[in-house]
Amino acid sequence: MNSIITLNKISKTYFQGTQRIEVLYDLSLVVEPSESVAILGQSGTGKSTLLSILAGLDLPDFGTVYVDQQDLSKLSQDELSQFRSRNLGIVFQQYHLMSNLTALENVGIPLELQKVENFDSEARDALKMVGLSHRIAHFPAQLSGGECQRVAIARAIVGEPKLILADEPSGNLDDKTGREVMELLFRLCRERKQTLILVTHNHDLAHTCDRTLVLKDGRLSLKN
Amino acid sequence: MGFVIRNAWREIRNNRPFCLFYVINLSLGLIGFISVDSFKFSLEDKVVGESKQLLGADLALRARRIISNEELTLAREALPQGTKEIEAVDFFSMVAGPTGSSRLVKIIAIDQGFPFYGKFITSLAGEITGQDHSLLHDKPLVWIYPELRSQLEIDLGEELKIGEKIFRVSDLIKDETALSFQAAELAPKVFISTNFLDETKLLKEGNTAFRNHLFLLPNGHDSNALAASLSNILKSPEVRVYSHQRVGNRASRLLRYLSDFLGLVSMVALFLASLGSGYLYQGFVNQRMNDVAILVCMGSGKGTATRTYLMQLSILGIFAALPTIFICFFIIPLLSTVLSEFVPISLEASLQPKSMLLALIVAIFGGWFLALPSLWKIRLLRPAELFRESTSAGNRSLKSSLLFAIPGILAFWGICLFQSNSTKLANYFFFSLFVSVVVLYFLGIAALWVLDRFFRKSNLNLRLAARSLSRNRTSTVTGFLALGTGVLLLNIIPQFQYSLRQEIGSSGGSGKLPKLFLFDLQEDHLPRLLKMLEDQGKPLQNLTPWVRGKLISIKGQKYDELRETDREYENPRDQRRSNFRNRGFNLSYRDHLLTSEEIISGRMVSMNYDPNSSKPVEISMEHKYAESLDLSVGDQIQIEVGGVPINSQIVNLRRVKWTSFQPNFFVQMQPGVLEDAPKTFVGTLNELSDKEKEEIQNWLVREFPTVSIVDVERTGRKVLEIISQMTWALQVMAGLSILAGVIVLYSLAREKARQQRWEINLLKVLGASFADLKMQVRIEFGLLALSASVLGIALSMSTSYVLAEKVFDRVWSFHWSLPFGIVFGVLSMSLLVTEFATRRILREKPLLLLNQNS
Repeated sequence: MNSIITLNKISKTYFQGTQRIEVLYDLSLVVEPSESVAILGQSGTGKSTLLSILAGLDLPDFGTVYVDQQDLSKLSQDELSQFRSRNLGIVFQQYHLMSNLTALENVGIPLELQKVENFDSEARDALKMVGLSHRIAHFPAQLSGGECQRVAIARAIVGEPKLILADEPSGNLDDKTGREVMELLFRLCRERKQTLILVTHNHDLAHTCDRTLVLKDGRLSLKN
Repeated sequence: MGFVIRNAWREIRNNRPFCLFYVINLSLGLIGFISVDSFKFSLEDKVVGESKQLLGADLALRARRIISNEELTLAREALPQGTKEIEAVDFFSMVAGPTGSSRLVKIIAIDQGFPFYGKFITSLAGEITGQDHSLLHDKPLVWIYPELRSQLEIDLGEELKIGEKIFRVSDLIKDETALSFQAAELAPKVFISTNFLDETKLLKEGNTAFRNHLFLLPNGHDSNALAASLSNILKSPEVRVYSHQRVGNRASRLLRYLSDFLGLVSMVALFLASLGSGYLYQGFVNQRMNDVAILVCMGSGKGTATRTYLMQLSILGIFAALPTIFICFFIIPLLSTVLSEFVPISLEASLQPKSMLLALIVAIFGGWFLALPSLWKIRLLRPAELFRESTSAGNRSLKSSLLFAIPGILAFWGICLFQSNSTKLANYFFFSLFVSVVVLYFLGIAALWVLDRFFRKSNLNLRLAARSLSRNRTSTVTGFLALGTGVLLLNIIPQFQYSLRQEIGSSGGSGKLPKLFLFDLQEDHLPRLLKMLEDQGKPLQNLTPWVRGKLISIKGQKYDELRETDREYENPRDQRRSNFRNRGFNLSYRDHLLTSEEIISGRMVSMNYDPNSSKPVEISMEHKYAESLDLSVGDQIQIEVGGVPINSQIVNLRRVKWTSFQPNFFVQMQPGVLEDAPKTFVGTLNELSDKEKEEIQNWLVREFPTVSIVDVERTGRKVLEIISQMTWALQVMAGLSILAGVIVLYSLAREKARQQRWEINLLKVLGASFADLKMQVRIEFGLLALSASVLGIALSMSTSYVLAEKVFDRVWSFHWSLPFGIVFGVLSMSLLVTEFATRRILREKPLLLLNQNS
């Protein structure tokens, strides 16, 4: 079977003034389609950098990144944009909804970028799936945190991407709402056979995934 | 493209308050600019179309003396066969009505056939062209302007005395345009036939009458080219050649200068509006940076995001152009009504399609230029930051922001050049504005530093207000600039008007001006005139000889070699230089200075010239006249008076206060040289009541018909009326600037309140009351408005003072009430506007915000 993600010995270094910080070092990872993988790690261990590289928003200094058989380093910025719109859904910890768009418009954006004709009805369906069909005309400022994150999940899944990247999706929510949101995310990914990469601090949540990896000293290791 | 348009429209729909202010701001800036542009275009169009009517011919020779037969023969030989010719003579003279009332008028004596182009429109006969036979040439009849009916208590059929000849008024002139060598006449016109001119016995040696020879060319000949060749053939600088195009240019010059000036004032409004719009847009895009980052994460390219904002700006630009065009439809006709006196043709200006297109182009591309620094940030955006805990994915760099402001600044410079006919004026304006803004910026920064320290130990509200001002430099200095510049403009124009009003004395001013100014006093009449006035207890004062001279050489160089400058110039300064260099000039002699004169370099001329001396004659020269001829103290010129060349040397330069209406001259010679030269005299009559003035004027016209009299007060009033009209137009433009400044202030207050929303609510959580916060905002914006308007007033006062010193013969008086009124008005308006702009955020419940940000 072809893997959906193949990271081959990637390294990433940042400079803060004259100080050299090696965030990722010789990191390799293979993720199979429909698999859910949790990545645990302390703050500053490079989780965000790893997600940026997987999303094609950043490139490693060394090593190769294949997402759905595509070497991301070979793509131009425009091609990377197109690739993201077709293959990736992203859920952020701080929701990152566009503040001046309604829930429906926020969800419709990825479809519009893919030039989908009936983006409006598909966005409605996605909002219905996350239980927000009654909030379609509301702006993010008029929604609760849990509702915002549901809209963000709807936006991530609406284009039926093969890969969902989720960065602490419940990090800004209370326990109950966080649990509900995560259940929703897992259910939708399972139903749609989408691969999920979940970055989290929460060990319980991590164990719900098929595989749990720990990011430490720039490398990933399997958590027992 | 579909996504770009949809997204741009969504941005507009969901950010209505921002879009509304952006559109209002830009519209305000565009209104003045587009009105003036359209007005100028209409003016040019009209003048080009009617220049033949303005001259009444294709070509004309004009001189302040009789044009000799030799000169006329040379001219006729140079003109194509079939050219027709007529003559007209114009000069100022007093005329008397049937009751003895008298007035200074401009007499125009015309040949049968006048004018070749254009027509007279009269009350009785209607339209009369040059081809129509009129009784004017058969009998001593006169056509007069309607205002003379009341001034001379005369009506149709009644007698009018011109010199020694009695004429009968046969018609009233409603409109005519020929011989319009200048924009406006100071005296009403009276038309007679040349057949009866000699019988008036007004044209004696020394009288200043203009002789005009008008030519109608056969079809297909270029008037401009023929005028140029005639100029070369006719050597005497006194005979000037005018093509109809040149006359059109001259007649509209005053209005063109005025509309140029108006245009530049309107540029200030455009600048302030741009400043406001740029600030608004920067705030807007900064807010949107996270959204753009999200969009990029969703798969949109940065290019798509940038195109979205450019599309949004284009749509907003169209929205801004529409109200501009609508309002201009009403403003332009109003402008042409107010300014109609400055051009001798009826001007029906209207909004031109070209100007509408210009409004659209400036609104759309102006928006693009304004947004360039903000949009560049999208290129620097790091969407990966969204995965970090920082809330902003934007990148700020002052250096790159300034760098990307350069195209906008250059575009503004380009518009300044486009708006003004004079490159020099446009450059002067642009660089003055640029330097002023930079100076004001650094003054503002320094003031903020002082403010922060000054209020460090004051009460909480003052301290917080000062801190808020000093720590939000960009918004504070933007507001400071906007209000300060608006106030400067609003105060400077009426300040000039007030100073002139004081000088001319029509509002209870100095009253030092003479009541009547007498000229064309013949030397042989003088003893009797002086005695009779003395007997009446009204002695003639400031009696000064008036001699006509012409330049032969300047610093050893023949004057003919300098004649290439005989043409019309767009720049007022060049035009003045050209006028001075090409004309014969008036001179006088005396051994003392009048109260209106002051020597600014050199020494007073010696008492009496020694005719046996080989030394050049000493002269005193007016400093601007000297400047136009590139002369200074010690330089020599040769002047011809009555055919006699006189070598002279400048021993001093004088500043003359021309508004004093005292008999002043460009050149004053030392006594002992011109006493025997052909001359007339000028003098003044002071301290007369209105009744005495009227009586003495009528008596003088009766006894000495060749004497011309200017009623100084009436002339002053006329000048003030003209200035009032100019001031009105300029104040409308300045008002637009203030309005733009207020909108900028509203935008600033709103944006600032939005930016400090968290802080405001935190203060509420910590115990600050609504009243405390409101007071803090009032103090903050009150301080800003007060300091900006005081500085604006100070700058306008000093600018007007310096200009008065350097340009306007020291005509300057301080106007107390206006600056106070402006400071009070701007302060109140600013507080009101701030109140409206911040009210909603100040009233917010703090918990609402804390919930939103949790």
